[in-house]
Amino acid sequence: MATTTNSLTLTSSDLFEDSLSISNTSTCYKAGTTIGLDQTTGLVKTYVTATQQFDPFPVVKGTTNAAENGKVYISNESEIASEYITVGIGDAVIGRLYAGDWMWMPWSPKAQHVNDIEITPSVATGMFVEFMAIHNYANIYPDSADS
Amino acid sequence: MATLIPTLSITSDDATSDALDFTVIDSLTIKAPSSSLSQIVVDTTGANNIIVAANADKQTWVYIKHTGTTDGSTATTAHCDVELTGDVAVGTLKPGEFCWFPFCGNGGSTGVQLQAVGSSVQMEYAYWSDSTAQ
Repeated sequence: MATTTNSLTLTSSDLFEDSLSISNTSTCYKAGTTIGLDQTTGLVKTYVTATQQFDPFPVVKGTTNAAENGKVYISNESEIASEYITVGIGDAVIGRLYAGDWMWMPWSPKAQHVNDIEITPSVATGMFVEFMAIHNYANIYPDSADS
Repeated sequence: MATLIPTLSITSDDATSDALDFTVIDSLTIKAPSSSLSQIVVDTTGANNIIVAANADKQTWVYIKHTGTTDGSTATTAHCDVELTGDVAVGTLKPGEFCWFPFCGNGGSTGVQLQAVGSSVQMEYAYWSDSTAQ
């Protein structure tokens, strides 16, 4: 099984009277195991030219994945400070990523259209967005028009 | 105003046929309200464990880590769900795992809460508001 390692550091020399230095490393395991997550979307970079909301990851089909485990990376690659993407889950807004911002968070899909990750660009003039999911979900795949 | 530098690295030699290895760095200008590292024993009711209160139109960065213990010393395998208030589940953190994400408060109506799965878990968290107006 795959071994994927993630490290996060948070540092500041002027945030408080005391300097801040947080450092963490963990391995992406399946829920309740020490077996590595074995599926990934790969690192995706896309150019979006509309303010229409879109799902960066395949939506969940059929059975639930609530007990499963996944990680999501999303980055706004824009170089224009005022441009942002709004990241949500289902109908709920989580937050905004402005130019150069990124996020790393867990994702546990429970049902289609309820827990889909969604991205809404702030401008239609074109911006790059980068994203990746690492997971072990069943029944997620793009729809096909073929019969 | 202070500057906060978050850095994320993701690596794997065998997730795909090609090695995965990248690092991203951000630079955030921080202002109040902020909360440095805190610890909380999270029970199984999310509403009891609101770590970021609903705020009106502030860009807030949230750090959350599962300490792997129930009380700082007793190991646990229980998970902890990260939720928006109102029981909107985002995902679950297992022992040792962490996350970093922006939170915008949805016009002051929504906060961030934690809910342990099965039994109590000690979690670590912090949040910082940045200078970006919403």
